[in-house]
Amino acid sequence: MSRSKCIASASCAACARKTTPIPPASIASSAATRATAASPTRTFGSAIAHLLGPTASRLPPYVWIKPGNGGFRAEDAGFLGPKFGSLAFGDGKPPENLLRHPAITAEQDEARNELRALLDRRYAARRAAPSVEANATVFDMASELMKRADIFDTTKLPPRDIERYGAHDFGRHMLIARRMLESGVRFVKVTSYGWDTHGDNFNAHAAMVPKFDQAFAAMLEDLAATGLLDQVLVVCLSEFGRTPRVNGHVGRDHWPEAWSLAMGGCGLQRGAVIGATNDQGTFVKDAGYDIGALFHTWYRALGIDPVATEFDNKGQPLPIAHDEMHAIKEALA
Amino acid sequence: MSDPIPKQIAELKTPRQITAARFSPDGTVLVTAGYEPLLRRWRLEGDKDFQPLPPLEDHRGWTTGLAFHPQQPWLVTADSWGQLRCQTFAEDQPAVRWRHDTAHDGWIRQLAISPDGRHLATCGRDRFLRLWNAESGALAAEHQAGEDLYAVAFHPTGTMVVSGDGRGRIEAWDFAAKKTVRTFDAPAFYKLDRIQDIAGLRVLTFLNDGQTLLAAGTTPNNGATMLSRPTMLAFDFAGGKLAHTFTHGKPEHGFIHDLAVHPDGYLIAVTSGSPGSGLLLLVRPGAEEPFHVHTKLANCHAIALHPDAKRFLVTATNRDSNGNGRRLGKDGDYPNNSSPLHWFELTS
Repeated sequence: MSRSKCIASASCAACARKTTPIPPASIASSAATRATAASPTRTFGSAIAHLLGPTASRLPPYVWIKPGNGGFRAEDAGFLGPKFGSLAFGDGKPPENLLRHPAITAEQDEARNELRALLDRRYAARRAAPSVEANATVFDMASELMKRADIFDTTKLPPRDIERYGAHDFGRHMLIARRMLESGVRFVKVTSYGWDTHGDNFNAHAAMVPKFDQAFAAMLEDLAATGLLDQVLVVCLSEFGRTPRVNGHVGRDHWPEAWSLAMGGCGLQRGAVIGATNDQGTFVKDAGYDIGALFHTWYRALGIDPVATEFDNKGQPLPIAHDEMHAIKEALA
Repeated sequence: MSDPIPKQIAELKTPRQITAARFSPDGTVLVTAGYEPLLRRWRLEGDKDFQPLPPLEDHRGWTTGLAFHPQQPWLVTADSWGQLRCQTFAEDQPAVRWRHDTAHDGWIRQLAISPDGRHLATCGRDRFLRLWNAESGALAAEHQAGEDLYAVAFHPTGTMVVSGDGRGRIEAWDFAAKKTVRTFDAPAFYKLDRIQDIAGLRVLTFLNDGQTLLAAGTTPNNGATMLSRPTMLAFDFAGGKLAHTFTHGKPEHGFIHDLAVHPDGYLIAVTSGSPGSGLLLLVRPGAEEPFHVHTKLANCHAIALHPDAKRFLVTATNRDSNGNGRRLGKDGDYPNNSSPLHWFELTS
């Protein structure tokens, strides 16, 4: 594993039930992005974008709000095809130059797009379709986003919401995520970096956890208040836990033997606490659950049958979740 | 007069990690606090024979601070769940004089006893600085700071107490008048990295009969894995101005976690940073470089200067304290980390 991949993250995202006209949902994280043994796609967001598609809003099906740079991440989708990649909002901001330049009129823009579409069709006729299709998809996404710039215009965020979500980057990102869900984005992933606390773990968590809690709780409150939580799956997780023992730097290292995640919303049992570690906090007591079981659970919660549904990898059928695992029954409503 | 040189003369094994250590004023008893709900004790017999005494139990969470009363046979201790208590310490079964289970709302980070022994001060994550009557344990005064408080110290006059928070703001508070009389800005001790507020301050103490306020800790480079350089800031206490900045070592050397002021005027500081790294520094106030650096210890968290000023003890950590994932011991258990105690004498 490269050093950069060692950076732990906590993520949140949302997905809508297939049967509902309204979007939503929540979280995926590096756990999903690296769960290639459990899911043959690169990310859960791409899988949902492929399986459920965009909502009636026509907004991008898979948005990733993250610190740092943004842009369209076709590679997230793996064999599903580049058009199911993520549209990353770096620091919560839309891709650069998304909005129409003021010097160009709407008519000129439309004419340019017609010309682009014509050239795309000619190009696609002679070449492999996926990349051209992805290119066209991105333009379509951009076109819809241009109409809904109000969603991510941070100058128009209500002060009361800013206060509730927290006046910090993660709070702003979660607030924008909620607005995207409300507007019809199918799947939103929000990533928070900096949790790889090999040093000064406890002071670091004392500083960061309240900020995370504030924004996460505010989002859940808002989704519940509007009834959207009944249609949105919310998952909060990271790709591993921290060592039970404290190292000399007062840090905690990587511990993939036992850790926890939180989830709620559509299809899930409320108030359930499932699983436990031993009295030393080191290993899972009794049977544990692998990430594959979680994919089964998430698909079930979203109304997708993870046994009957398959991906098509150029003619090769592939399970959407590990075919030797099953959903966690206690977690499902 | 030549510079003193520390020479290690003994090492004591412990089963758990230790983060604070002090000798009783008569030098006969060593008490330590650490990542467990008790305090460990040893009786020093002869030059280097530490005989264990029964631990002081009934704390909760981790024990985070300890201080001996300068005149009475009392030991004050604190823990991460907010308990503060005063007890005797030399007997096999010490007597508790007074105890508060919720002296603070959660983690008590530090405590200090005034030079005249009348008061003790505590500070914690609840942002409160509290002053207590040392004899009765009664709350005498309290002051709420803006942020999480990391360090506390009494001015030698005994009329003021200084506290420092996670944002690098140090405040001198006149507890009789109940007012802040001075503030000191130490931005070197703070950095915001992503959403992590990194607090670099760990120690406050006074030099030159209170003319100089010394703040020690680290200058943070980045959070998460935490790279930072050991740092000390010396302030002119009367004027409130920064008079001198001392930094030493590389970013992996981390924090000055503890320091002792030797009666001869120099400082003995210990550092802990990336696992395996640790420095023992002997430095004169105002100097740009230490006159002695010991690099053979790993992750040092506390120093206890013996009252004879000829010996001191450093608490360190086993060198292989870190590591990702499952690394089991020979019998299949998941091993603890521990703190070897290094016993030094000062030679010329």
